[in-house]
Amino acid sequence: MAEKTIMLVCSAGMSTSLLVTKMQAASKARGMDTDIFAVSAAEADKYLASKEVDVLLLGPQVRFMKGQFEKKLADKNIPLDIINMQDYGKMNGENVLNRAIELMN
Amino acid sequence: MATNRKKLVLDHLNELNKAVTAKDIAAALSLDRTNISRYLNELYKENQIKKLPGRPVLYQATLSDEDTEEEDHNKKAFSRLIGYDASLKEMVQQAESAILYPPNGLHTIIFGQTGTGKSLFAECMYQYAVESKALSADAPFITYNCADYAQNPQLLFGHIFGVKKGSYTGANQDRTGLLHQADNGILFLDEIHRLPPEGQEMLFTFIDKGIYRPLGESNETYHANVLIIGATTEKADVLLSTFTRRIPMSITLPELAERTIEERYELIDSFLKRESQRLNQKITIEREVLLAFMLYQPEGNIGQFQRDLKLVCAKAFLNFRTKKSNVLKIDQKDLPLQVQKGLLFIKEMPKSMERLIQQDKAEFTYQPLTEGMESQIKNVMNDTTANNLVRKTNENLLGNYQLEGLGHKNYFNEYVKNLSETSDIRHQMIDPILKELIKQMYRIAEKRLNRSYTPKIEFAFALHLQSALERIAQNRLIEFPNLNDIRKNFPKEFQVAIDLSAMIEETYSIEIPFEEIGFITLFLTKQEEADSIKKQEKTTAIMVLMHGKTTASSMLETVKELLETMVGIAINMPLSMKVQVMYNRVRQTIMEDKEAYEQGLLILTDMGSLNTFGNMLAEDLGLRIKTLPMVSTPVVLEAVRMASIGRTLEDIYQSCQTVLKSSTKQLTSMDVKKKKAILVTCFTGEGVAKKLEQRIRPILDSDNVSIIPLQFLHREAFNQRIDQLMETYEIKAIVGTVEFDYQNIPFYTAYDIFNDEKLRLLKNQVEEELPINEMIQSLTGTLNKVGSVQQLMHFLQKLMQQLKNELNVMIPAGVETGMMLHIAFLIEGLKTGTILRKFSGLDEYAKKNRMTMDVIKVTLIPLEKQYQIAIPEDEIAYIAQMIIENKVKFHL
Repeated sequence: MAEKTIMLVCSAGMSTSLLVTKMQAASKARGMDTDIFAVSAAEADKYLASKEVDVLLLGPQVRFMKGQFEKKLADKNIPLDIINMQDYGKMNGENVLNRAIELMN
Repeated sequence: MATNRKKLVLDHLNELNKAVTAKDIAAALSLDRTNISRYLNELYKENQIKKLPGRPVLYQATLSDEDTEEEDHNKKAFSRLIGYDASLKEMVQQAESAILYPPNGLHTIIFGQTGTGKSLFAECMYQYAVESKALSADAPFITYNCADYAQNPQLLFGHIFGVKKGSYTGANQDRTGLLHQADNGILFLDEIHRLPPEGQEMLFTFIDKGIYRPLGESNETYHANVLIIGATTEKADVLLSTFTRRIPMSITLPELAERTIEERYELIDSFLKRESQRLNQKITIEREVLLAFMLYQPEGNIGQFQRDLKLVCAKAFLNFRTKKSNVLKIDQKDLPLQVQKGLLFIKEMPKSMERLIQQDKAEFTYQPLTEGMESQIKNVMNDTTANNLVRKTNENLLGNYQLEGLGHKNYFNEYVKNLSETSDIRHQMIDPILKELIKQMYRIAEKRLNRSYTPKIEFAFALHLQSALERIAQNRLIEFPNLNDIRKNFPKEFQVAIDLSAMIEETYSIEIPFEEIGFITLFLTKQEEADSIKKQEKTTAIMVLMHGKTTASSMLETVKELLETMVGIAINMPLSMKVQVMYNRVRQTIMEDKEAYEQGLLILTDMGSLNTFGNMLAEDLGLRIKTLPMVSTPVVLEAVRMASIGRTLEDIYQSCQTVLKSSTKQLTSMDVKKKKAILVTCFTGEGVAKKLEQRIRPILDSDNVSIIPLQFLHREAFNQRIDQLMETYEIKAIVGTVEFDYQNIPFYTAYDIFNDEKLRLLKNQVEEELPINEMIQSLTGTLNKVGSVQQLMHFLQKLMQQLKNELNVMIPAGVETGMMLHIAFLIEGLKTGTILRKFSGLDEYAKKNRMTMDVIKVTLIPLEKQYQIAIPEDEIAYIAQMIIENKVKFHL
């Protein structure tokens, strides 16, 4: 099992999947052992139940779900954040990975 | 007990059925006056009684509402005049009193150059007379241009006063004149100076005695009750003094040049909207065109201005027709030469214009408005889009969707109405009692201080007072650091402020602390102060110091010759001269005429020790000094030019730096990216400023923009504070109660901020640009089925803009970025057939959010066509959700 698991959530899990690819590349380049994946908002619960997630990142277009997720994660101690708009637009895997690591520490 | 007394007061008022003061009631009922005031206020709040404006306040039982209704009406007649509450305010007041003057109003003459709107003004006077019931609803309004028949005095005379049969060849029967037709109404005589002497004499008789004699009538005189309004392009002193002596009221309408820049903008705006309505066509105009119209000087005032506008519209319409292009666009090349010349003044453009005209927009559009709603809604949603939406929906382009219940037109009217009602919350914000009180207070202040205040200041003061009342209730006091200075510097205002605070005390039965009176004084002085800042008499001093026998002087000489100005002093420093000698020489020069440096000094140098003079002199002589090194002729040119038109030291410094930067780009490219900030200001730094913050906060991405509340008491101190903040922040805007021009930072009044349209402007100005190019870059190679990614993203950006407009929502820039990416991937997914997901509870959701879903569907139709896809209802619902759930909500 990977050392750290990062879950990205957006509406359909499509646009974040590209970001996942970039993040995976960045992670690999640093020699980190991470499991990064993207899911749609509807599937999120299923994954949260079956996987040990260390950090959860929301696409900016579903920022309104932040409150919902905060509740869901309240007892799990999983940090949560909305992906920065500039990083999202640029699909900057490096920066988003940095932010995820920052949140886990 | 208290309720009984309150009842007693009410009964007493009902019985009296006339307006009385709190004091009267207290005496009549032998009760304490303060308590009575409180009961009266409560009763007023409960709408049981009404207050009559004035001092002291009069109270009366609410038996009839006529008075208040009338007051509302009064505003209507003149409100169609652009500037009725600004440059025309005084004239409107004159006109109102002319109409209302007992018993039958005052005859009036309107002076004004060609095209200043004299006829329209006269029409408004008539309407006002009807609305204020000075004239009956069917009263006649007859207009006549005295230049007609001016060459045939007899005919003209007959026309106005009537003709008796046989009075001249061809007068076969009695004919009534205009005076007769205008009986119990208004006769408007345009170009009254063209009236021949005979006519003038008869008119004077009529004015003096109310009688006249038709042409050919020798015995009988006729009576008529007519209010005469004359208009003339002549100056008052050219016109017969008999004229001005007989006609008691004279009103002079201002030239276009005397109107405010806001009014000019409104003229353009309303004209183009009307024109687009008439042509039933969207009109687009280039930025330069708009600027030219804002800045040129038409000889024929508003009339000429509108003719020029009309001319360019007609030209554009012709192009549009013949070329069959789908936009009606006004290009710079369509402009008449005189209008184009406006662009020459672009550098002297008043700064207030930057607020009116969005800086980053290259084009501006004007759309037809729904009839009858013009006054209500501006830019909310227009008829054509609404109609298109209905039409397209009807054509069933969408397949299974139908509108239920309400007729389509109603459906949208309802929607638009709701929008317009929510869009202006300014009025709901202020407690009606407070609003009334403020109105009274300013009326008194205006009279006593003999100046006028704008609605913006009234609003700002209302906001201030509202939070001050809260503060006082909570017993939280705010220090006013230099109350004594205020009292010394503004003795008159201070006195008025004390009296006004007594009014507040009476209305709210509280005690106003002395500190608060200081704040009230500031609200009363504000305008005068602002004016004195703008009309800076002395110019900023410019000094050129350079090495070499003649370098400085020859450079400055060139500039002075170019600009034909005397501004600026040059001091040469030959290489043999010692630095100390040079310093003394500069110091001596300043000392000789120290007053000339009161507005600050900008020192322009070439290099070396001269750069340090500024700081030393500042300390030595206590002057405000800024220094620019490595100066070349263009910089001197800019500095002298700006100084000679009266710009401030800071402005000039800033502007010159830009010139320097553009010539030496590499040197300054290491600017660190600063965090953005908005300053919110008020006199206390916490009352109004907090309210402003609450209003602005929700629309901004709080990670990226700081909102900094700041106390504003002294302009100088405030400037310095801003300078400090600018080292850490990039200040994008200042919002506050005191008009403020500094370093070209856009300023928004508190009044602006409570208007959704203006708020949106602020948001655009502050918010980060969408990283559209980076988005394109990052997606290229990932999306394979959509053709050009660049084309797609620009398309999506346009659609998002449209969605926001049509739905009248604000969404954070981050969400917009996310949504564009989402839709881009959605298209790809639909093309490859990999997207098939359900929106749970779709039917319910669609019903609840029908309007939003509709607009989205229609807006995305071009996308469906372009990419040959059909976006499923479920996906529309997801998009709707992103907009609805993420949109900016206001908490107030």
